[in-house]
Amino acid sequence: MSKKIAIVEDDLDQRENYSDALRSEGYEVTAYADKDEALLGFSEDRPDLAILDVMLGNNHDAGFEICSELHRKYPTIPVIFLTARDSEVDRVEGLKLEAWDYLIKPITLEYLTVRVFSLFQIEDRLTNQGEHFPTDNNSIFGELTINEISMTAHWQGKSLDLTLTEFWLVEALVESAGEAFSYEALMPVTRQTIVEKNTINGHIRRIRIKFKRLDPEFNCIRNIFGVGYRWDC
Amino acid sequence: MLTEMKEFLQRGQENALSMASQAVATVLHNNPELFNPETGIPHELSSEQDFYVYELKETPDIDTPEIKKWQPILERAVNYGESHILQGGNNYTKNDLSFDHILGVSSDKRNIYSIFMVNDDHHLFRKFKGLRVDSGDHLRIYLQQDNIPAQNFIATAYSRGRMGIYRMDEQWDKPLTGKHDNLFTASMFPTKHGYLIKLKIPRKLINESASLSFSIIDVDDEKSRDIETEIGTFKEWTEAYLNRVFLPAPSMERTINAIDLPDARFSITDRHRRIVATTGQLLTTLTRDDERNPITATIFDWIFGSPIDEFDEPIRDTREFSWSAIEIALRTGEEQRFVRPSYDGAADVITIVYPIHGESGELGAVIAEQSNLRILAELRISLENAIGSTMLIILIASLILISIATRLTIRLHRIGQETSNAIDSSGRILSEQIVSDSRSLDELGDLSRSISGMLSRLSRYTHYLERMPRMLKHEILNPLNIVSTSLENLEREIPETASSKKYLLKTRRGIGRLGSMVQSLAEASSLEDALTPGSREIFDLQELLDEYLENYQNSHPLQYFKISFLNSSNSESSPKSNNKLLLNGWPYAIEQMLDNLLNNALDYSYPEKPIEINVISDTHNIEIEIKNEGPFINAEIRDTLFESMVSARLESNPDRPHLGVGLFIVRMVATHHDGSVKAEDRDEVEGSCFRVTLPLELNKEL
Repeated sequence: MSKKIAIVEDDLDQRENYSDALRSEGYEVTAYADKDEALLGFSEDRPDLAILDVMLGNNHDAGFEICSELHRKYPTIPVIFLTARDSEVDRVEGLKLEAWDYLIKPITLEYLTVRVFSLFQIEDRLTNQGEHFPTDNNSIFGELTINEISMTAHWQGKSLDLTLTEFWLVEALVESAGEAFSYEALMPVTRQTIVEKNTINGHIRRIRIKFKRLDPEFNCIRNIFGVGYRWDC
Repeated sequence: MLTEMKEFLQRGQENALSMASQAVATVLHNNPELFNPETGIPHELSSEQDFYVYELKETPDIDTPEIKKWQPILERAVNYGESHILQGGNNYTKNDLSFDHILGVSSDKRNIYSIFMVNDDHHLFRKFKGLRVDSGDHLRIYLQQDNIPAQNFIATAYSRGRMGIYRMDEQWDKPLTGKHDNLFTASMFPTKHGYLIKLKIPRKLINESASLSFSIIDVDDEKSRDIETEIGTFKEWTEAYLNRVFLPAPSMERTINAIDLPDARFSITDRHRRIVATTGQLLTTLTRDDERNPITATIFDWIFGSPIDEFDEPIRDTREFSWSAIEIALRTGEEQRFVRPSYDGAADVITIVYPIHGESGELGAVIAEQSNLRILAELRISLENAIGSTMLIILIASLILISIATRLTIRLHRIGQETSNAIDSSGRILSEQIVSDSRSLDELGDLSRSISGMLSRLSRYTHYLERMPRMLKHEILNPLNIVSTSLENLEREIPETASSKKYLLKTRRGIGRLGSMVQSLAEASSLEDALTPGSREIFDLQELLDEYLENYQNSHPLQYFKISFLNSSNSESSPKSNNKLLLNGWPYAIEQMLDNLLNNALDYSYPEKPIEINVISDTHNIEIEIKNEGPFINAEIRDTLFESMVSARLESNPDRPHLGVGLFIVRMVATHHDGSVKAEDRDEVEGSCFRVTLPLELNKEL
């Protein structure tokens, strides 16, 4: 049975492009243009994944509202925000609503499908095996444990709540620990179309915050001024 | 103006005085008996020769040297001296001989008294031996009565006390008889400066046709007893027997005494211009101090001297002034008025001469005199008050003007200050409101409000410029997303040929470039979003700079950077100083600031010219100077260099779009670190210098 993906996007062209791309990957896609239509559709048919735009028509926070409605009904549904709004406030709001990822337009459809695929993988593992991941896929780097398959990371045994993009960045840094990773090298890792220094800085900042929540002494990601970042543990 | 006022007042006074004298004249009109008896005055009167007889309140004592009873009229005594020398007087000095003389009539009107106060340096009494009556200092009396031939008398004394009176021959050689004549009574008393002669003359001797003269004979040589000097009450021998004696006419005085005009003197003359009655006094005493403003009075007194507040003039002094006027009045029968300066010159005396008409010509004249001292005082007070109040008004007006001017200046200054403080040196608007005078209703209030309006419009505009990249990005991202996703879908559909591949690649590159342009437009806002106070950390700027500059140099191997560190707090200078420069902020923001500054310096540098980087620090601040050699900063944009969307670049590099965000980021980062940034032209070479000053974190030695 193919997975059901719900797309809420007010712009017809983008909606169709997403739908076409995901359908061609074999997913069952339902697309909605506004909040009311979407909520009605969700009540009739539970999607397996929702891709939400934040701004719908004149309602600037429609995406966030849909997300909280959806989570009230189906707490475990993975949600991806796909929006042009890249301000820090919006990101924080989106991640507060336990979205699995917060993507900034323009998006590459190739990357989108990769993400969707990865998310389903993770979700499968979560629903099937709960918290008990098989440890055979674990890579251990000092105090950090990374599971490439479930795309989860643990610091000092505690689960790190990373988004997909953040996971990829941590993974990349850790795998070449001790070596400077330039901004230019980190950009493709995010699997986003337009990436620049501030985007990387933002991701690294959020990653550090998440590490420090578990371990206030965390100081493994180091700035290499004039170059980029380095995993230093 | 003042003269006109004075004239006007004076005319008023003249008129009042004229009315009064007219009234007096009317009363005396056709009353010839009042001037009675009235016969034969054969010659003209001359003021100098006339004796005026003053009334004595008490009858003087003839046998004592006491002159107390004369005291009230003593000041009117007439002095005779050099001008009245009749004979002798060689090498005359005042001490040789001079005398004061006055006549008085006792209240019972029976006798006329006279005193002679003689100054004589050498007083001699009559010689005891010898018959000569003129062998000592003596008094000659010239008497002419009615139609009787002139009579000569001398009064002489052997010693202090009563004098002997002898009637003399015409030549004054011998007494006509050896006997004392007792027509007169006289006594002589030596005094400090000479001697005193008191003389009593029976009233009946003196009538309207009588004349009486005196002379004092000085004898100084005890041996020869020759006459040394004679000084008379007349000037020439021919004038002897001419001195008239004027007695107050009581009935006339009673008539005119009723006139009560203050400070005025009325005199009545007969047709021979002899004063027959006088009343009132010229004495004017002013006590106007209560009417004067004490402040202006003090100032005026200081500048012009105190005002004259007392004025008097004895009658004898005055008659000579009105002599000709009386004559004209008597002749023409018309009123004469004139103003003359007073005897002492302190004031003017207004004189009215009004003839008294009789059936057969003029009977005499009324002379009214009054000083204009009151007018002068009045004028002075008015002037003082006018000037005083004018000065007060001017003073108050100037104070008001000065205070208004001062207030305006202060307000303008405040508005100016606030306006210049509203925008900082790098063009950032710090305040949209001018608080000063914003509620005032006048033009300054309008100015303040319009400046506030301008500032807020400017600030809205600046804010719009700052927000524009973000909005633009948001608006562009959606269509860009359509294009890029459509392109991807298209890629799957169309067959892969060499040319389709090529065009797809080009399209993708175009989209990428468009995207990165949008992204860099929004670079500032996304960075600003990240600079939340909570994410501040304390880091070592020294370490950051070392690492950054090394890496930057490595990534730009063809560019020569001249880097120097200078720590002025301990003057230790080495590129790898171990001192920590602690900064509280965001290291990656500092990194981006340096990126932008160095990229800017590189972009504007002439090829193969070094870029100087100087890091100067002391205990409080760090200064990062980046100097290049290149074109000067365009003066037009110098003020707005650090604003969003301002760029000096003329040609653009298609791979690195310049949207004027770089220096805006620099300023934003500096400001977020409580620092500042400044751009200036270099003095020594053509080029520019960007200087960032950041405050260091203090008291945190690690």
